[in-house]
Amino acid sequence: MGLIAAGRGGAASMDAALVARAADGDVAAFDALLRPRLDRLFRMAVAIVRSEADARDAVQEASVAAWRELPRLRDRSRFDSWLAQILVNACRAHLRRARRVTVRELDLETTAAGELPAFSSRARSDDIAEIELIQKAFQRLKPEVRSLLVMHYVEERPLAEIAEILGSPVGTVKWRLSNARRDLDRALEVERR
Amino acid sequence: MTMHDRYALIRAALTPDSSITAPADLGDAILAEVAVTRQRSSTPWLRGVRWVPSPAAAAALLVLAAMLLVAAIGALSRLEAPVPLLTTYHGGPDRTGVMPGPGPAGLLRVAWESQRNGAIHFTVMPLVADDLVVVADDGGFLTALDEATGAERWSRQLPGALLATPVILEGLVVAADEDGAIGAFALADGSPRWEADAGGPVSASLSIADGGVLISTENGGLVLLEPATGAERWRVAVDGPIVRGPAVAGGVIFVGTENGSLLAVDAATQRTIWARDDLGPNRAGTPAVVDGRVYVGLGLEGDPDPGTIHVLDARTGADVWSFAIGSVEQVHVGAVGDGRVFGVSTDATVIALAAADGRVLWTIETGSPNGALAGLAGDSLFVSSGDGSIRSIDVADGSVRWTYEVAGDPTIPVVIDGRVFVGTSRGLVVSIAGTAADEGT
Repeated sequence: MGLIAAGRGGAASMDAALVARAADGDVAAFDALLRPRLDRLFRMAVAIVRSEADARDAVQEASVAAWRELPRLRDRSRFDSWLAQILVNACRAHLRRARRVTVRELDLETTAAGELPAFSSRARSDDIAEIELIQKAFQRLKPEVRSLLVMHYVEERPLAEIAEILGSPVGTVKWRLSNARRDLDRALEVERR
Repeated sequence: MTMHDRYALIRAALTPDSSITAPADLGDAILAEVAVTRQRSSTPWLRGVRWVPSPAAAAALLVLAAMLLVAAIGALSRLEAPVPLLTTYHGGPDRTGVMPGPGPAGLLRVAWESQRNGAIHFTVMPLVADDLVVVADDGGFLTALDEATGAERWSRQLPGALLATPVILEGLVVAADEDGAIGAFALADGSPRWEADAGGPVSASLSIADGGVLISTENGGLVLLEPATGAERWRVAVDGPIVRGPAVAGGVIFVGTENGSLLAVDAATQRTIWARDDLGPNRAGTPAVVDGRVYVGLGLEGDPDPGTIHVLDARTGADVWSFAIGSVEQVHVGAVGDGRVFGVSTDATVIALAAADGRVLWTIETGSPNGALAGLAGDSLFVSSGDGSIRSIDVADGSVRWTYEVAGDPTIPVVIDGRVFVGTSRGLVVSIAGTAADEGT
């Protein structure tokens, strides 16, 4: 699970060549680099921002930012974690913009259930109620907390990779993840009232 | 519920259904926008070179290149080195708050955030040089982040908390911790270069004087170090603790002490040019020096007298004018430029005064204490407030152009390259960009 790794053997060298060409202004190379990643980028964004429309905007914004900044990426083997970082930041920015439109953060995204994107149907029927509570609680969380929980639970990225994406030491990420779980628990308590 | 069960439930709740995929037209939409978006590049002239000259043409080119190189060396040797910007606290050694700018334009967005290891005190300003943002936190970490993406390039830790803004000069970042331990690191990769000891606690921002690193201590020491080696060039004692960063202009160090005195010290000879010890018990804030005048906020730390902006002649120390803000809260000289002095106060006001005579030009309320100094870029004043608000204010009339909120108490806004960079008390470094400024700048 997770974005395509900056991988091994032939795929890795092909990607490295594409990154080099894209950094040199080759639009077609950037397109070839990005398209295979779009579904996973989009799903990651949907998981964070909880709206397919907003996820589309975030992915597009992040992709254009990646194109613009790609010549400044020194370690091109880090392309995927670097791209994930840009996407996470774009998602957070979207959530913050949405927050400024509403009066209070806790009122964020009080859309009808039918407007939220469909989520995993793998759960057992007796877990559905709990899952819905978790989804509502998640809506209450700050953007940086959401993105961290998505990278850990949905993307199942190792802590070291999350640390690389966030630009933080692994120890800091452990601490932040622990706090994120507590934030989710507190939000769940509010939802259960 | 077991941990595994809980993990599975959260994962199930947050994972989008497998049927959710990127919209069919998203790739084309991105491609269309990319095709008209310019990339940033530091070496554009190296791209796409395909022409292979003949031997004769190559020889002619070499001769021409050599002639141009000789001419360029001659021209460069006659140029003065540019004054460093955003490599010291508050815009430069003279502490005017003038930033290179421009600020963000268009729709604002967070370009990136970086969570650091400790709180970034509101008096510790991020520095920007060589495409890096350098920050210091109270965990003792000195960190360089990629200016464009916020990715960490390197991080080094000093023994104690970093409560003073570091300084960048000659390819080095020099920082001092709360106990006076000093470290110098290469800006490019953070490799350690030398260590020294200030001889006392350091909370006042570092500066540059007479080509050296100027450090002030809470036990009343002014110390100048050689940047290449950290060797002590000189050390003098003043009459009280120094907790506010000195200003340096024209080879003179202007420094206030907690005893209420304000001094002018010659950086080359260490001779005290003048001293005013009749300004307090009103403790002085960080001075700013512009056009032969010293601008300083007085009345700090709960003194009974009102907060005051006081202006003195830089050469003689004589009073020029003084303005009281009408409350006993602190007022600091936020920025000085374009004939105006901007005061920022913990009574939640920002005030603009005419630099010539202290006439009030405008006053606005920010709703929250303004403890950090301001940044001035073009016709905008950027002010951070304790509630996390950052405002862009029109210097002409005080109208607020925009307000942006960050998590925590923000530092002085650093305004450069179409971005605003701040650190916050929650250990965040935030890069605020604008859509218009990001394109083509």
